[in-house]
Amino acid sequence: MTAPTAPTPAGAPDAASDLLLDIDGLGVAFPSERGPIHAVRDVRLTLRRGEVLAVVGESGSGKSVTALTLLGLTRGRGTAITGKAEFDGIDLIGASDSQLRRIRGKRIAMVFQDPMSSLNPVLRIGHQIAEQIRAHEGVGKAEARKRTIDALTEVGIPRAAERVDAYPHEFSGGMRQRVMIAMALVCGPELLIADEPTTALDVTVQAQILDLILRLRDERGMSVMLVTHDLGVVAETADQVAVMYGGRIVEQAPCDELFADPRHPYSWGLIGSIPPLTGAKPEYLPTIAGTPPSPLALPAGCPFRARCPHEFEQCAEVPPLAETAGAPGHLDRCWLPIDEKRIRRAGADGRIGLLHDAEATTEESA
Amino acid sequence: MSDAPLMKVEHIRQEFAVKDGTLRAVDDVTLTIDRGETVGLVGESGCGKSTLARTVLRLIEPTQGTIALEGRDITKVPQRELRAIRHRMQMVFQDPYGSLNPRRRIGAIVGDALDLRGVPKSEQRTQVIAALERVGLGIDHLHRWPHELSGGQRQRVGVARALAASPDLLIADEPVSALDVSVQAQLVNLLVDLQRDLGLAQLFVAHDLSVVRQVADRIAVMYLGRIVESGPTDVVFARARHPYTRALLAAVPIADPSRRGRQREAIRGELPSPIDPPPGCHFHPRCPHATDVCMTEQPALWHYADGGRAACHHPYGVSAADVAAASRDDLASPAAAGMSAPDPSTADLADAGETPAGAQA
Repeated sequence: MTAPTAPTPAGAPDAASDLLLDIDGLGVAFPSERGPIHAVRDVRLTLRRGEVLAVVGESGSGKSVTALTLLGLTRGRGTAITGKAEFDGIDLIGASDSQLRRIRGKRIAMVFQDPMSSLNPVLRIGHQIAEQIRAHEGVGKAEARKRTIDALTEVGIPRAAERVDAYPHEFSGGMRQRVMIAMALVCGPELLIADEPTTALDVTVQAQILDLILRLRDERGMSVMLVTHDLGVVAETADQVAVMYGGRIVEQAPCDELFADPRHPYSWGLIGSIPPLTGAKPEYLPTIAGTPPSPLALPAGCPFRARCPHEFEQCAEVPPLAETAGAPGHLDRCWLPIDEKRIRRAGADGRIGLLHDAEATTEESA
Repeated sequence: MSDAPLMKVEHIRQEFAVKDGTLRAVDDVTLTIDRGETVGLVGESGCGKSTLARTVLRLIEPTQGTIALEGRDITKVPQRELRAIRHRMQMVFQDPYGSLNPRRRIGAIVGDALDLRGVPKSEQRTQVIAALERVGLGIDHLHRWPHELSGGQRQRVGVARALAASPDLLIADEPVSALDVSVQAQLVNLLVDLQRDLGLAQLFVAHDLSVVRQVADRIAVMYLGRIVESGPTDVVFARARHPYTRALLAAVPIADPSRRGRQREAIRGELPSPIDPPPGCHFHPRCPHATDVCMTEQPALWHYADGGRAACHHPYGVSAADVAAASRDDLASPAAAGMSAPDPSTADLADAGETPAGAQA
């Protein structure tokens, strides 16, 4: 596979120079009776303006902890946060709580998985959204209410002028998630962090919410960090993808590139284990043996080695997150040489490689 | 053994009294499951699929309709007698955390199913181990507690418990949706194996269409308490006739970025309240093709020659010849006699693939 086409996110004419988020060497360790739990280690991510970055992983991979840490939501007694996370030049790790409060909700907003427990059930939704505007901008009640109604209209809530006075329980799951997005967007954030924003929703509603997020990205040039376990959602929305496993990024690539030429055996397994919706039905789904490791009991060396069928001696050491020659921006954390990976991947699951499969095969035989 | 299907539920209606009136969760549903067959029951939250699954087991008593196991009507069988046949129909639940008693060991949990069948204690251990091995666990799990197991392992215990009763029918309600992606595939393969090796029939309830496609021989799509489309899995996936099924299929995200930007038939609005469902075809307020007839007349579930069935006045890809060859369920309601035939005029829409005329991109 030759140089991938770098995605050009809409709304960002000069994407290369427009770095919004710069994370490097981020580590998060929580205290426990049995010593520190390293939930996130050595994470390096960048996000440009107008770009959608998907962080993919299973439970315990560290994807949510990474997202929460950016907003200072993992801070606590004994939590060790190391490394760098800069947002538009502002140090998010070193920032004081009051500095963070000025950024949070204003310049960086977050949408959580469960819209029911993220809204206060005893307050009208309009009140909860207006509170946010008034906290960040010195506007009056009437102005805040008007902007709240505008925001609800923008995310597609019908009869927003009436619904603004409703309570969370009066909305369906999809509508509640729209309320959450309206709340997140009302102050015009430059970065939206969405942690499994559609996991609790039905597919038809999921499609509506994802379309909404992408439309707002296009219209406002907002950046999105999408935390998810669903590779279908990733393929539909992301420009860049980081795959996390056991607290580390194991592969990182432009979205097209990741699906066309996945490098890490864990990525092969993840992509392969999705039952296809069209075409031939495989007799069995390719699977990854075992279960995702608990951050309490990670193996030494490569975090995936306990489940990896391609494990060998070198895996006792953690592989570096390295770029392969000829594929800028495509990094992976695996000791196998690139040629060997392609051969083994073809053996592991013929379906991986998707539409670019023929191309990849030709290059292998060359 | 009779020719009757393993399980047949007919004209099932399930109503619940709620504050604002009556919630009809299941509305005149007829469904058969043959021996060794896996039937996928799909639909979005609130469509009545879980209620129907529980009704089949008589975990909830149906308001109306009959449930027949191998031709024997078990709708009115007293609970005590029901217990004697319940081992033939076993359930696997969605939540692997909530469905195992945290204070009992795995061996005891699985062993309960054997008590149900009256297996003597002396033989239970061997059978429990056999059931655990069948699902990929083993003798070393016998004395473990549920909390010591991962979500995937617990779900395997749930399946082992069902298998220990040696059922003919397994009813699995969203058995993989609480699991991690890599673990989901393992469970899906296990369920496919059980059907193949043990000839176990399954009613597989799920919202994930790609998982259902992998396991089911036939599928039934529910919307607001009614089956709107059913048929062999390949027929429904290749030639979905009901606009709801098509919208549902189009909404599934595809793990292939090169297909991004394909035009999709987005579905409008949200599921209406089942307490006060729209008249006529329940789907008409969200349907891009609804006409006057859809607002007043409930479409019958028409049977087409390829085995597919659809309850739609304007089905996709149906020609005049298809309509002429179509037949219809015997509807309980005499009003059925006056119902209109499906309209073949939308037949050409099938050629438009994922972008039928009138659809919102």
